[in-house]
Amino acid sequence: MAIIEAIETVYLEADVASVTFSSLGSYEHLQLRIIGKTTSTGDYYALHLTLNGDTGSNYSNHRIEGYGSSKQAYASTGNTSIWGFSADGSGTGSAEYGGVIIDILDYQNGNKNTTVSGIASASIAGGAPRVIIVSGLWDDVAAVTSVTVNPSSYNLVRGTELTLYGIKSS
Amino acid sequence: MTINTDDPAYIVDGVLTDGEAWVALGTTTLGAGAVNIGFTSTTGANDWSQYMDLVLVSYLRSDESSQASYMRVMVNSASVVTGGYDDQGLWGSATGLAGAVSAGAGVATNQGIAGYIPADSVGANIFGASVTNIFDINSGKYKQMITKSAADNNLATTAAGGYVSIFGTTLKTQAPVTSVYVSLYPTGSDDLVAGSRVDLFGILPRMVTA
Repeated sequence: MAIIEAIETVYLEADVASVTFSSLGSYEHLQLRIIGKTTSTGDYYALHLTLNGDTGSNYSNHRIEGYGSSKQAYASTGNTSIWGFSADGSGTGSAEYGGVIIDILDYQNGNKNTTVSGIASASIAGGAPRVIIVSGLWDDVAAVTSVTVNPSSYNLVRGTELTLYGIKSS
Repeated sequence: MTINTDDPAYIVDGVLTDGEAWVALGTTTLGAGAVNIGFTSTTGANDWSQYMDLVLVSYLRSDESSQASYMRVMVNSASVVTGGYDDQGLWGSATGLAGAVSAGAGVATNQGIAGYIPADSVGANIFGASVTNIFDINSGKYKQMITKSAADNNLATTAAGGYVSIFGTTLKTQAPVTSVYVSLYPTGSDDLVAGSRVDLFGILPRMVTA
């Protein structure tokens, strides 16, 4: 029995506002792996994650990031998404995309709020990548039935690729 | 070294099936000190052209005379690539029981700095755990890596050392990934010690037709 299975890969042939995975299968945990870029004109831009289509103010975030010799920590609550998984912006070179891994644990449980954990590294034109660790909470005990990724008011650009994996227990 | 060159599990009698998403490609455990641990794409399951991402799971220790060594992950060549890499680190370190958070970057460097490895001055038999993800290895995109490392020390026996880190590393090449090498930075007289090991996994995509 496979412990980790690929549920679905989405490769963008054109720019889109968001990507939603709504067939999540029956696993213990999910892992979403992204190599992504947005239409933001900057070097990088945060991807936003919403669960079950909920865009209410039901999410909280913690994030630490490093760039150059600088390091910063952020925290916020009452958000409409979990955000901060930085992909590249269109201000970087055409070959530069950011890598993101998001773990969504115990997503089928209907008695627990859902906490996700993520890491990201956005390639920066002429500079060092930006590296980020994200923790996010969806303040809802519902089982997760869909996962949506969007870059807020921007689009995900052609060439962005997202794959959702399901992880079983032994 | 063990390399998996079997027919891919997702091909059964010439027919594509749903196989394992993560495929174990190779394992190397050093019997003696060595400069690096490397893997190269070959045939069968170990033909990397079929994979979306690679994952390196490393358990390492160096013989450098210090508390920790830099870990580096080199792609497509064990040798330095002039100006070929960028890296950004974010790490926590310890002096005694006091922790500190730091960040540092390298731009247009010659090697892929990716984290920390316990070295000869930490307690005996302490190895560091690292997981490196290399994204979209067969695309024309630059090769983006993320490495999480735990290079801890026994603070009951020494007042210094120990790192937890995350590094983003970019190799500025659009060529597909055909080999990877885990080593110390800089290389020279210091080695990865016997018992150090790296396991390599390939991660398949799944293209679903709606």
